[in-house]
Amino acid sequence: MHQEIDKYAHNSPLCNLDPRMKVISLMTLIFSVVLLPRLELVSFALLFSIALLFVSRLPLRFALHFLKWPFMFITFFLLIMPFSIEGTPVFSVGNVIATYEGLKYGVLIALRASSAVILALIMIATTKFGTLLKALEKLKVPNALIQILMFSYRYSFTFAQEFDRMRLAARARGFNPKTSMRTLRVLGSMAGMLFVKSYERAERVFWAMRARGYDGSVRMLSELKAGRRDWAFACFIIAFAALLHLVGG
Amino acid sequence: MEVRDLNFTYPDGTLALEDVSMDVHAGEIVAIIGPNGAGKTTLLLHLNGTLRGNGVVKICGRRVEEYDVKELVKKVGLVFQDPDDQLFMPTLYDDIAFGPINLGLDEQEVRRRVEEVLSEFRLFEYRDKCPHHLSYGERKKAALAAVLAMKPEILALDEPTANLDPKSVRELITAIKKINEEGVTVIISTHNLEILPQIADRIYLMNKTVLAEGESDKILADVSLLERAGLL
Ligand SMILES: Nc1ncnc2c1ncn2[C@@H]1O[C@H](COP(=O)(O)OP(=O)(O)OP(=O)(O)O)[C@@H](O)[C@H]1O
Ligand SMILES: [Mg+2]
Repeated sequence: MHQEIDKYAHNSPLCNLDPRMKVISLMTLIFSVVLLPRLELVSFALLFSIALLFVSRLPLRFALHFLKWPFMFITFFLLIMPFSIEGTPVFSVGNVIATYEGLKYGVLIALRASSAVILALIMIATTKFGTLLKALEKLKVPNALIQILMFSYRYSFTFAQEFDRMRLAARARGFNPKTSMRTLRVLGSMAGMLFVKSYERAERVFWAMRARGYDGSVRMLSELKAGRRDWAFACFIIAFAALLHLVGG
Repeated sequence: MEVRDLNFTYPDGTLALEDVSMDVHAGEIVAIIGPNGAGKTTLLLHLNGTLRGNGVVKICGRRVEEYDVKELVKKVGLVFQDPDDQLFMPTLYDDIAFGPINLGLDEQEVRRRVEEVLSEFRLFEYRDKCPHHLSYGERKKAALAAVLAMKPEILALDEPTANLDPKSVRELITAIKKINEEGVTVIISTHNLEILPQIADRIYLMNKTVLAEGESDKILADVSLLERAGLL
């Protein structure tokens, strides 16, 4: 079964903050971090992100569950980078040479990316998904994008369930996955089936939406308000983002 | 509602409706029964113009093609067979608000209607939950509530009792009767024959085409007819 992204969206100290403030300030910080040129500053920003993760009180296991995929990607990047930039040789594997510049650049990118994904996780996991969408709507994010996010969220669960059911049904009829051509064929046809099902589901969902007056955009009621605490949080984060560049500049 | 000689074939060549004619008068509760694949869902999808076949479908004396989409949606509320097709918003509250907002109602009226149906169906405590965390029966109720919040004149329900436990079925019947007493015309597609005597004024028996029409008791008593239709 999959972990749910908003499982802890109600018991973090950050969860009651106005989501618009959270989105704006954390996005500002993310952009600021990925544009930082110096290693010391990026390391500092990463420490700050980790500290914020602790403040958010998201359980570490939960955080790692969501961070493991981006971290794997980042590690892979870190392994490739030293060999792909020319400069002062440091060591070599076979006849490919790792350079000091490549190493440094790889570490820089890896730290920036780690910091960014941690901040993004904090932003997403401490906010209920629906509230996040309302914030995006209020921030004038294009409605099509909001709808894409909304449907991915809602129907990923339904598809996961559908896939589980198909897998169980296959197993109930004696299918047990091995590394064989037959397994691949069965899995392939299951994927195909899932595709057809999703296509048909999409059509019915569209019909059902039109039956309730859907005209291309999804509007939501919202009762978002920003108080002193929200402004304080946003100012603090944005000030930190600015400071990183002032010191670095 | 009036349907005359309606024919419909799906793009893949499946003939789903053949010369279907049907009348439902204002204030009635009419059931459409038939075996799986009889075309019940297909027929209901014609009532709000989702599918367009050959033939005439009239709502309140006007052909569905003549209606503006929003006007038609206000007249005919369609509750889908699978609640997962219908509930798509991240929270139940927002989902139920979706229809009323689309009707252009102001925020206060939207909230009033949402809260009314939430308490009517005892779903109030679930208002901030996401639909995929509700049980199937709760989702089924929610889907109905979401349509009722739009206050349609005609309510079409596709298999409302499928997969519900006996208590929920009873509650649903009570709810439908109450809605009907408030003046809403109700059309129900089902193959749950047990509930029919309690709820339906009349029954249409169909399998691609209409096989019989009459009062509930009369149709249900005719076992050989039901067997011929493939329902028993
Ligand atoms: N999207 C589609 N494409 C092709 N054929 C379809 C499609 N939807 C339904 N059909 C076919 O049309 C016929 C009528 O289907 P419909 O869903 O209207 O039946 P139903 O009476 O609602 O059945 P059930 O009681 O199982 O819900 C069936 O033979 C079905 O296979
Ligand atoms: Mg059906």
